[in-house]
Order: sequence, then C-alpha cells, then structure tokens
Amino acid sequence: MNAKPIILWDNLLAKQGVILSATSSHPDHPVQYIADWREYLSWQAGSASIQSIEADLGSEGSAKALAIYKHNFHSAGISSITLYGSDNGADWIEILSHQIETDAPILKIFNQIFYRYFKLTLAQGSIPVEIGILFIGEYLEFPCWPSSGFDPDQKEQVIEKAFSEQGFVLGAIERYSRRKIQLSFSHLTDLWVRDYFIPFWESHIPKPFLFAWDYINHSSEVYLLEVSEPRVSLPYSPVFRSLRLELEGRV
Amino acid sequence: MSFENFQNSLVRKPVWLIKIHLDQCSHTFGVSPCTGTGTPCYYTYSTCKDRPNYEKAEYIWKFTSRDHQISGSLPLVEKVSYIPIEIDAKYNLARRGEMIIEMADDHPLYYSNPGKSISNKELSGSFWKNVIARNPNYYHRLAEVYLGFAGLEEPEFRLFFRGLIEKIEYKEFGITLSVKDLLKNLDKLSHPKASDNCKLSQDYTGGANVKVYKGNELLDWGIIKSEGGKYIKYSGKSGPDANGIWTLQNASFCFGSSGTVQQGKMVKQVLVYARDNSGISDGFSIDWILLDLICERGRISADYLEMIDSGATLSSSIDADDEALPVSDASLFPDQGVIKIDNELIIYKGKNGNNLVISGTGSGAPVPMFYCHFRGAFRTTAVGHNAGAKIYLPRITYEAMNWLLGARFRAEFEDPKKTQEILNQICEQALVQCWQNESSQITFLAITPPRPGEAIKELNDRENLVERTVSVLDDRELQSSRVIVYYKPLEADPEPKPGSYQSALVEVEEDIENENWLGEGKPKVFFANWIYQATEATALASRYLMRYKQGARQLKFHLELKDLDLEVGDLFWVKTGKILNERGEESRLLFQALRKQFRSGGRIEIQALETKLDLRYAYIGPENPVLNEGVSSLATTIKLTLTANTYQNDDFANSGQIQIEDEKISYESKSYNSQTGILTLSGCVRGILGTTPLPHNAGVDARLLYCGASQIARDKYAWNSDGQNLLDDDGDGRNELEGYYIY
Repeated sequence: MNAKPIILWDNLLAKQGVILSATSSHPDHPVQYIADWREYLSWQAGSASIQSIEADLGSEGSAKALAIYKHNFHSAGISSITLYGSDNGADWIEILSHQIETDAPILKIFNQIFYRYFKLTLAQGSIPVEIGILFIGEYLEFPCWPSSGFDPDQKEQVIEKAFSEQGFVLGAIERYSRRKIQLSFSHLTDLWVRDYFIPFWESHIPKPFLFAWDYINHSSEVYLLEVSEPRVSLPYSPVFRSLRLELEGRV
Repeated sequence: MSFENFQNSLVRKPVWLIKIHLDQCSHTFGVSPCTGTGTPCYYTYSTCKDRPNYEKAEYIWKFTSRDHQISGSLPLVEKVSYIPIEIDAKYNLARRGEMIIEMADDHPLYYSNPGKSISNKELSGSFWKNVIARNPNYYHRLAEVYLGFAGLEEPEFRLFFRGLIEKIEYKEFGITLSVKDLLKNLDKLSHPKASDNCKLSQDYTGGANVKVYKGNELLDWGIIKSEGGKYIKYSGKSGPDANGIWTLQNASFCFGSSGTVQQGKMVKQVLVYARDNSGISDGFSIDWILLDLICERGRISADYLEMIDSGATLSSSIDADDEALPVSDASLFPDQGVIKIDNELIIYKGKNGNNLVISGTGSGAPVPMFYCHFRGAFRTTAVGHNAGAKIYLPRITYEAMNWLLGARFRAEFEDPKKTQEILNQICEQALVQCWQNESSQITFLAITPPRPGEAIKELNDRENLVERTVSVLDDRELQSSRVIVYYKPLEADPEPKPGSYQSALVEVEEDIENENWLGEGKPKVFFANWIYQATEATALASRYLMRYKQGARQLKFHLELKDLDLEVGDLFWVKTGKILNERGEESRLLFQALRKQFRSGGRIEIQALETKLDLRYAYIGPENPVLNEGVSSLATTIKLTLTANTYQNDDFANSGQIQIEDEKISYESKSYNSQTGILTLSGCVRGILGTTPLPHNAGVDARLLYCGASQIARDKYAWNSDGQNLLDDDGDGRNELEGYYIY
C-alpha cells in the first residue's frame, strides 16, 4: 500500500513569536535557521556534545509529523534522536525516538498531539551537528494518488558538449540540473480544496515546502520544492475538481 | 577530488564562489574596550557608537551560484561576466580586467552580524539593501572570484580574479557588483603637485633640515627641486610649527646640486629615477623602477607581487636593522636588486662574498642611490628573519636578471602623472609586459623566447581547438619595417617630438622595405624618455623589429574547460589546419596568449599573437667578463675576471676568439682558477680578422664571440637560432651581428 503525497508546510517552529533555543550554536549558524525555508541557512551546534533544541510556541500547537531535512547526523556520528513534548517546559513526554543510519532526510508521521513545548535531543557526536530545516507540525495530504504519468525521479538536466576541429569530444559541462515533479489530480472534492488546499496556497506559496510522495514506503524521499509558476487553477469537471502542479527544486 | 580531477573529467558543473571583504570592527559591542551603549551598532565605522575604539578588521561574505551550496555561503550569484585582462598586441601594454557580478537579493539573515555574539536581529529591509546601508565605505574593498565545480570542497576552489570593489548598484531584486583588478590603483598620481606657496622659509645651504611653507603638500620622503633647478633629498617631515613652517629632515643636496637655495624660492616634489651621482646620469635596473611605481606610487601591497623562489636561504638570522644579509649562495642574485624574505622586501646595493649588502659598496661599483627604505622597502615592514628563511625574487627582478641584465633606465618627472602612464612608458620601452595574472598576482614578462627546457603547451586540431572557432587575423597595422628610437631626453617630462631628445637610432629592415615586399617603409617611432644609452635603444629597436617586421598573425579560437590552464601571457605552440606553410603543411608556430575570456558552455576564448620568437633575434645575455689587468698591444696572455653574472669558464671553448673594444683576439688555450675567478687565455694572437692590436685597460669588457664559445654555451645560448643556424657558423667572427649581440 502506498501513502498518498503530502506537503509539509505549516511548521510550528516558523510561527510568529516562537522562541527557539539550542544547547549551543555556531555564531554564524544560529538555531533560528532551522525554521527558515532557505535551504542554505542551517543551524550548527557549537560543539559535538549532546545537543537539544527547544521550542516554546507560546501556546499549544498541533503536530502530526516530524521532518528533518539536510542534516549530517550520520556523518557526525550521532546514533539517535528523540522528540519530546511538554505542556510546562519541565515535564517532558517522549513522542518518538529514531535510530540514525544515513544522512538522508527523516520523516516521521504520528498521531496528532498537542503541546506548547517541543524538544529534540541529539546524542553525542564526533563533530558539530547541522540541521537545515526542522519541521514539526501538521501536513497537507492529498486525498487521492496522482494521475498516471507521475514520476518522482524526474529531473531536468542541460549538458553542453564541445568537440574538437577533428570531431573528438573534448568535454562537457552541466549547465543546469533541477528536480522537476509534475503532479496532477483529477478527483478532488470541492470541500477538500476549500478546507485544505486553498489555505495552504494562500498562506504559504510562493515559499518552498517539503514534499513526500510516499511516506510509508519511501520515507527518506523528502524533497524541498517550490511551485514553478505560482498560478493556481482548479477547474471543475464536472463535479470533482482537478489540479495540476509543477514543482521544482535542487537535485 | 582535486580541482584538476574535476577539470579533467568528461562532465562537470562549474561553480563560482565570490568572497567580499567588508570592514567589521574587531570588538564586541559594549564589551571593553567598546563603550557603546543602547541598541548595538552594525560593526561598521559609519554605525559605530564608539569611534575612538573602533578597530578595523573584516568580515568575509561568501556567495555561490544560485543552485549550488557551500557551507557558510549564500547562493545568490546569478551571473558572472567580465572584461578580461588583455595584453594589447600593438603596444604590449596590459588592459585591466573587470568582473561584473549580478546577485539576487533575499530576506535578511536572522542576525545582522553573523559571527558576533551581540548583534541586532533583522526586522526589516532586505539582505543587500541592509548591507549597502551599513557599509557606505565599500569602495575599494577587496573582492575575490573563485572557480570550482559542484562536489569540490571549498578549499580546493581556484582563485580566478582578485580586485577592488568599484561600485555596488542596487537594481530590481538584486545588485550588480563591479570589481576592478588591483592595477586600478595605478590611476593614482605619481607624486603630489605642490602649490606656488610651497617655498623655503629660510636659506638652504646643504644642512640636515629644510624649512618650508606648505610642507603638507609634499611627501613624507622624497626629492624636491627648487626654482633654479637644485635637487634636495630628505627622508622625514615634521610640522607645522606656530608659524606654519614645516621641517624636511635628514636632508642634503643631491644629483650634484650645491650652494644655496634662497629663502622664498619655490620648491616642488619631483620624481627622479636615477642614481645620486654628480648630475642625473646613471639609471636603475627596471625592477627597482617598476616595484616603486606599483608599491610606492600605486600603493599596491607587495603581497600581491608574483615571487620566484631564488633557491637560496638566509644562512644566519638577521635583525630588522641589519644591513648585511648572509645568504647560502649569493651567485643566485644579481649584483644589485630586490629580494623578499617572509613578508619584507629588501633592496640591496651590492654583494660581498655570500652577503647581500645594503651599507657600503660590496664588491661592485659604488651605488650612490637615494631611497628612504632599503629594509622594509616598497611599503613593507622591516623585521628580523630566522636562519633558513627562503629568499624570493620578485618576478620582475627574475626577468631582469635573465633578459635585461645590465640594462638601465632613468627618467625625471616634474609634473605629476597617472602612475599607469609612467608604467606604460617604461614597459613599452623595455619590452616588458605587466598585468594581474589568474592567481591575482601582479606579474611581469620580458618579451622573450621560451627558456631552454621550459615546458610549453601545445595545442592542435585534434585535442584542443574547439570546432568552428579558429580564425586567423593578419593585422597589417602590426607590421613595422623600421624602428626609430629617440632617446636621451634633454629635459624632464620631454614632449613626444624629436627636438626633445639628444639622440636617435634607426633600425631598418631593408629586405622588407624593398619593392619585392612592402615597397615602402612602415615606421614605428618610440620617444623613449626612459632610455639614455645606445645599448638599450638598440635592444628595443632590434627586438621590436624582429617581432613585427613581417607583421604578426593573430589567432582566435575556443578551448574546452580542460585547457583552462592556458593563461594570458603564456607562450604556446599551435598546429592547425587553418595555418599552412608554403608546402601546404601545417606549421608549428609559437604564439602568446593575449586575451582569455569565458564563453558559454564552459568554453574559453583565446586571442593570441604570433611571437616570431623562435627565430634569431638580439639577445641580452650574461654580462661580459672584464679584463682583470690592463694589457699592452703585444701581450699574449689575457686574464679575465668571471663572476656569477658573467659567462662562465665552461662557456669558453678550449681555444677560440674574443673581442676587446674594437680588437678581435684568438687564443690557443685557457686555464681557470675557481678560487680567484680568473680565466687566463694564453697563446693570444692579437688583431685578427682585420682588426688592429691595441692596449686595453683593466675593467673593460671582453666579449665572447660565437666562434669562441664552447658547445655548452652554443647549446645554451644559441637555441634561438633557426634550423639553418643563421648564427656565425663559418666561425670567422667577422661580423658580430652574426654572433651574439651582447649588452
């Protein structure tokens, strides 16, 4: 059984007024960067010792997913991470724990929880740990699978070759390489569109988001994508509504 | 993987990395010694709240191509384009490069000053708008452009261009950053122009102090010239006193001036490149002059000069004020010159055994030259150095030692000029090229053939030249059949007209001018304000004519990224079906790359000039040995003094011919004493080949003729002859133009 595609966009840690703190931070890489959708800004611990990142949301928030994108946990020698929740910032309840095996993105889906405080602890490593994006929150799940033709591995690459006067290949350079994912859905209910999709679109686009096309069987295939041309079109045909999205991001 | 591994891969993705060095205070806001309070500053001088304690340091912002990430860099670079550094084919002068970098704007970072423990949080604005607002003094700060590949670690990126920020223009959603190469500093004036109010406040009669009004208009050290033309040198300045009078310290008359300069006489700063003899007579080696122009006048840091490892080291440690430098092998250095130890440039005046000496005269002739700093020269700092420290030669000293040994140049400038203009003059007249290379070092090249054994890249149609990009331009404008050199100027700042010069030299290539070829003369005229001797004038004329008498073809073509290492200034062989000889075969021709520009698709466009330097040409070789003692016209034994800079014992055949002044002499045998450096030629027959036996004084030059040279010397110095060996192969030594042309 495949999971349906999800979009992780409503990050509790990126909301206004959230207070983020970390055990230590490199001066050039403050902890606030974990909630910044810019992939090139990342948090880096100030040392290789045990680290924890805490978030005080100010009020209770709801979460169903943890995603960690662009990290170096495995390279840094970290064996495990644990996510906790708390209502008072003192008594912590373990939400999940995860053993680290690679530097691939981490996506964990769980039953809805409500806490004001969240804490992610990272075991001791050998070098300072880095995190690009830390997502804790709810996600937008499409109610159906994409139409046929969906390809999660689609990339666009432009390569230019040079030949010598005598016709031999001298070399080639890659001019351009992007992940391109085309999604189309043809049986979306008007209710789902109005209650879930349009709020996402109006609140978040054109900012990037995390996209997982099958979190059950391919949970590490989480991509940071953005809509190629932020233009929404959801025509009726005749009862259901259809949607075409072209997403792109770094390879 | 190294840069070279990626470069030589079949497929790779080039990535630009830009580094911008902006000022940032080294202190932390509110932490001693900073006494700032309230809202933190932005660590720039313009936003500083405690300027007395502001201490300038820098923060290096890093940016990469938009779809590439390197830790600590912002991927905002959208486009990198540039006006390439180029050597002008006609004048051999370098045209400066300029990088133009377009970057996107973005939201500000979380903190305004990354790396600072106390920093403002960014609440509004955009990244670039905020940076520009906080750094109004970005002008002439350093920027660097590195080239690398996707997957390459940052330390492996290769510096491609280093320059000074000219301007940052904010455009819609981004900026355009203009960076000009370091030689832009040569736009500075060579020396200040003093006003008519810069006058002596009391008579000067040769004492240590010169009293002047408006001394602030003069340099801290240098040479002034009074109304009436008297020269005074000084090396310090203080003032003004209560009466507005300045004191120029450590002063004395120079260039033969004496007597009294009366109170009220105007003085002006002048720039004189000449030895402090009785008058302005003898000049300097070109390296001294170019280093002064670049480092003193242009204020370009000596850190950016290309250096060559001399192979010698300090044999014992020295202090910051020592004036004798013990080196492991003094023969590796010219008699006078410039060296670099650690970060210090040092001018030495002579050699004494294995010491390079600053005070005294060493073993050579006296060196009456004025310069304020011999230690810590050219705006470096004099410090102590440890035994074993490597000794480097500035590239220009190295070039001068190899190709312009003994050549001297002098000039006087009363009116200030752009330093670049002065540099262009001497480069053109000495046939030296100066530009900023791809390692962003200022380099120099005498226009000469490849050195023996020098590795020269070879390009061909099969492996290098990109299809449909090769074109050949035969620019007739570059042809000259005769060269006229007006030299020995009669005055400072001579006008470019024959009447301003005492001497003229004309070299004509009659074979080109006759009716079977051009049928006319195509003259090239030099008004050589730096040249005062016939030898340098002859060298200029003959070398220029050799290169341009038949015109010079220019070749333009594209290379693939794998051939990135071919740089501007490099000599290279090319063999292409686009250039055939009279038999219809591809010729192997020597070119010099004059221009290099990146084109789309990772291609590099090269524009090159055929050098003609594989043919015979006038050669500036080692110095001539001198007569160790005077000889009569009947003497049959002649003793020559050999030094590290002259032809060596091995260069003399066991029996051969030499020339002393106008007399040619053959010898039957030779013996050499390595302790004294004296070569004794015995069995001499005087006045051979139609010349007359004459007496000669000790110290005059003895010229080694080709027919007197050993095979070692012929192999070493005759490599620039062509296949037919146009040198003096009949061995009669009758015509020195057939042998060496030795300066």
